[in-house]
Formats: sequence, structure tokens, C-alpha cells
Amino acid sequence: MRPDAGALLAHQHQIAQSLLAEAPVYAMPWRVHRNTIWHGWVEAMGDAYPITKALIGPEMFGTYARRFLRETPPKNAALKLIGGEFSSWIAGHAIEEAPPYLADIAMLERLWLEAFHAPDADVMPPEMIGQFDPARVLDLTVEFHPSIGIIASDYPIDVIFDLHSSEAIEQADRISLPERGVHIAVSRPGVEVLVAAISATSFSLITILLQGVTLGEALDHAGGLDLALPDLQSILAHRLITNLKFKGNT
Amino acid sequence: MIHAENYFGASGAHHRALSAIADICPISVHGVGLSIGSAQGLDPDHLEAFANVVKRYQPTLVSEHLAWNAIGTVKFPDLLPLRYDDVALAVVIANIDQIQGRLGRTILIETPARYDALGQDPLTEAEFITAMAARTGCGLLLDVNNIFLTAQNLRFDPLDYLRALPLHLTGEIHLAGHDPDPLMPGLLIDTHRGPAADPVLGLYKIVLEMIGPRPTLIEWDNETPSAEILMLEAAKARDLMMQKVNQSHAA
Repeated sequence: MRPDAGALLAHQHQIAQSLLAEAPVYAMPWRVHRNTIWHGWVEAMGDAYPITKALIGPEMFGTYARRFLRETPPKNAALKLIGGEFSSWIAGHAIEEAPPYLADIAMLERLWLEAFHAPDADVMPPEMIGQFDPARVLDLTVEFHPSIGIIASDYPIDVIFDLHSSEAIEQADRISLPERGVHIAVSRPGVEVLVAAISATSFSLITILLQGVTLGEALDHAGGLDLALPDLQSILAHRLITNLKFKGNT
Repeated sequence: MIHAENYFGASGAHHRALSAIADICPISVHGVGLSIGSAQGLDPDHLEAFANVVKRYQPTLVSEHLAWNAIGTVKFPDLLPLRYDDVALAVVIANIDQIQGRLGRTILIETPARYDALGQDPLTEAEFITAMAARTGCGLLLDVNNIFLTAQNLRFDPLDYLRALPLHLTGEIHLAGHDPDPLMPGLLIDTHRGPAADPVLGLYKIVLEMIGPRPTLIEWDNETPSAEILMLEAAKARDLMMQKVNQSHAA
């Protein structure tokens, strides 16, 4: 706190509480500022979660976005990454007339946004694994691209995401969704964000490799070398890895 | 002009695009979140990220607002007004000193949009800004739309206000659109979603008469129109600026 600013600090806390409260503010000029703040926040949430918004409609989305933001007010002045915990908030609340995959779609949209804003990094060409001593390959650990995110869903959220990301959803009278779940990896190895369905084994491998274990330990966890090797090759082919190194080496 | 906060992220695509622009034209970095009116002091992480943008792009101009938006851990997406008294003045001076110390350069502070007075302030806004500039060495960013609509909302003469400011410290001017408040007749809201109104351009012309040309920005960042329309708006301001330049040469 700035010296001698106690009364001003208390005043600013009091103003903040009234701006965040559910009850409307009628006193000027705070009525105008409250409208601007909430309009800005809800618009930014809609920009961050366009498919989630489309799935429940803008009115319902606005209602739940306000409730979410009231419970977890943004800590960042920049709105581009607003709403980081929205998917888990949706999962923990009964959302009226929402499809069962709403939280998973929100999480996928979040992974997309974080990948879009993640730092750049050069991906490792898949053939580089051949440069390592075959006897020691299983001792390698994996550095993933900083944009990577993974999600497992009981619903075909990859199909739903693709439909809403194109104009197909507007042209279709009725959409038949496949009755299956999906594992997805999101990354931005270049300019574009990629959303790719991956195998359950690949998902399991990435999950454990992100914890810093060696390839050997990860393959054991995923059912052994023979079973999981194609999945490891698939991870390399998806351009999700930036580097391989022996544990402890920098 | 860029908003500093849009470049706080590490994503290379954004920075590559801005680097390409910075290579061919001067940049003005405009902050919207340092919250120089916050009694709790500045957010050190925000200041560091801001300083990184300034260091990276070496802008010609750097500016912030006479407002606050941060309290506790909450950051509001709006520029909230300050009372004009000695306590707020001390807070603003300390925060500007810290920013300028970290950046190693002076910054411009933008004149705010106001929708109502916050009681009987002991200082006028012009007295507050004059003292702030004298004590910190900061310059001014004259937002002519803010001055016009605040004068209408708080019922004062914008020319009196301009005459009371240290206008020679002006480093940048902003023009923008405003809208009437849907609830209160006569109240104008700073919305940035349309062209600058004719009276605002008229006031801009007077400002040019008083201080001469300054870098001028058209702020139309809500419901942004086509590049052609934006260029036309910029041309209006440029024409007024050139009229002043030509008058000066003819005199």
C-alpha cells in the first residue's frame, strides 16, 4: 500500500465489492462502469468459448459466465486468456439444458486458446530419434512443445469441435454424432493450432511422459515396448516433441 | 499504437507481426492495466511485463491512464475514476515515479472520461494533472473525446479546462467516438465504436491551434469498421493537422 493511502484503499475495496456484487448499482458514475466491466468480461468469455456459447445459447451463456466470474473475478487486465477454470466450473455445476459434453468442449476450447498464445518452439524431426544409441533410447526423457494440451472425453468432442469450427453446423438440419469417446492432443507446432485425435495409449504415454519419466518407464506403464511403440512413433509424427534428452542432462 | 497488455504473452506470431510493423514505422505503446491510481501500489508482475514490451519494441511514445482498475487480486476491464485530493495525488505520483524509474523514461498520462463527479473534490482535474506532471515530469496524452464528453457530462467549458492544463507537455492526442447513455438523457459514454463526432473534431482543431500538430490516434476498437473507413477517419484528422501546419508556414 502507498503511504497514508489507507482510506483510499478502503474506498477502492468498497467500490470493487459493489461492482462485483449481483445487485445492480444505481449510483453514478459506478452504474456506467459496472455495465462496461460486465459487458467486457462476458464478451471476452464468449470470444474465448465460442462453441460453449453456441451450445447453450448466448443468454444462458451470459448468465453462467457472470456467475463464474463473480466467484472467480479475473486477475489479469488482458482479457485474451479470461476464464481459465471455466470448464471445471461447468463440470461442478448443474447447467440447465446443457449437453453432457459441455465441460469437455469448454476444456478443448481452453486448450486451443492456450496453444494459440503459447510460446513458439521448434519441433523435433521424428527421424532424430535415430541419432541416439539404440541401447540407451529407453533412458531418454521427452520435452514436449510448450503449446501441448491433452484431453480425454466420453463424447466425440473432436467431431463437435470440427462442426462448430466450420460452416457445416449452419448447413446441417440434423447432425448424427458417433457414439464414442475420444482422446485429443492440441498443439501449435507452427502458426496454426492443431487438434488431433490420438490413441488412448498415446494419451497415456503423453500423460506420464509430461511427469518427466523416461521412455522406458512410460512404455512399461503403457503395456510394454511392443504394444506401445507404434503410439510413441505416432506422438513423434504429430510434431508434439521439441527435444529428447537423457535424464539429468540439460 | 498498440495496447501493451496484448503483447504480454509469449506467442511468437503476435510478436513477429508487431516486429515487422515496428521495423517500418514508429510505435506508441499504450497501457490499460498498470492502474496508476491504485492505492495498493502497482502489480510488480504487470510492470515487468509492461517494461519487457517497451524494451523489446523501443516505442517512440509510452502512455497510461489517469485511473485505477486493480484492487486486491481483481483487475477490472475499465478505467475507474479517482477523487482529486492530496491522497490520490500522492498515490498517482508514487506509482508514476515507479513506472518511469523502471522504464528509464517518462510516460504520457491520458486525460480521463468522467460520467459524474465523486463529491466535492478539493482539486480540479486540471490542478491535479498539473501537479502530477510537475512532480513526476510525465507528459500528457490529450484524449479530445474524453475532454469533450466529460465537459458535457460534468457541465464545464472544455476551453477553460484546456487553458488550465500544461498543454505544452502534450505528446499524443486521441480521437474517438462516443454514444448517448440509454438511461440518462444528455449523458455521453466513451465507447470507441464509431467516428469522432463533429464537435470533437472541432475541439481537436482548437487544440491544434493552441499547441500545434501532435501524433494523433483514431481509437475505434469496438465494432471496428473496414480499413478504408478507418483510413478516412485518419485522413480527417490529418487534414486538420495539415491546415494548421500550412497556416503556420503562411504566417
